[in-house]
Amino acid sequence: MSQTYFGIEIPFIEKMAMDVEKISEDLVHVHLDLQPWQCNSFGVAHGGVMMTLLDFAMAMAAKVKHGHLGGAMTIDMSTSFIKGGKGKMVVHGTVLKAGKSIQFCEASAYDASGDLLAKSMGTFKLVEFR
Amino acid sequence: MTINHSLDIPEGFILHELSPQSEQFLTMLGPWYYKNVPTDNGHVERVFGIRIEPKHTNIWGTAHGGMLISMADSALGYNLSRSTEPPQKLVTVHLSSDFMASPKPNDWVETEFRISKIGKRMSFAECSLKVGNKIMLRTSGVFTVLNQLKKVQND
Repeated sequence: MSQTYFGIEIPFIEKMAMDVEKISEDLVHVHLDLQPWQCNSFGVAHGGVMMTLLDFAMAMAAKVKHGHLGGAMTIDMSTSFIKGGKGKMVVHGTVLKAGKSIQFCEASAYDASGDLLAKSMGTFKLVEFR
Repeated sequence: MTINHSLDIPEGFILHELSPQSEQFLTMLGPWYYKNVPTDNGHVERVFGIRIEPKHTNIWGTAHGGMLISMADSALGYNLSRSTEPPQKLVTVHLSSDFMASPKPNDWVETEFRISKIGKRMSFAECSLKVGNKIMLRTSGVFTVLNQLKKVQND
């Protein structure tokens, strides 16, 4: 059986070996223990891996905030890369402003020493599973 | 669902070879195909194409945002780093993306790259992902030269 994330299956996230944990109604943590295959030619996390982490954290934060059974679809996302990611990373995802459908979210990625690696803001739409 | 990589690749595209050691993430995203297209400013743009597979999908069975953004980031970095002579080692500083539509499995997604500015330290470019003529994702990226970044950090 496929892994589920608060009740939904996301094949690409499963492939990326990411996991999510609800801390509170207003905060989720997404975890990744970076694997060698997820690094770029500079030996740090590929930008696409970081953005997938941040996108996933924001979408899950929106879902948890509303107890939404479906998913949160990305409308836009903006990411600043601050430091190359290595080892065990955690992303904090929160909802800044919760609308009925549209959610304004942010996420910050940290390494094991607590250094900020990347930060995103994004807009998400709650969509039912179809 | 059966995805046949070798058949039905649009005319002019050939397989983009990846390093099995340093490009494992891109290997997972692929297989990648490309064609080289001369641009008005004298550069050659490498247009990348990927056929969407079930492994790329989200809850709705369409391409996950993380997959699309990874494809755009890679196409931006590849083309921008080779737009100077000699090529530069670039890293992404900022990437902004608008998700306009969702590709489905078996859709052929293609990159369209545009340079805004090439600087000694910072470079700026845009990349759209398209299925046919329809834009799926629109991204705008800021990149910095890696040796400049190391120089600043060491100062």
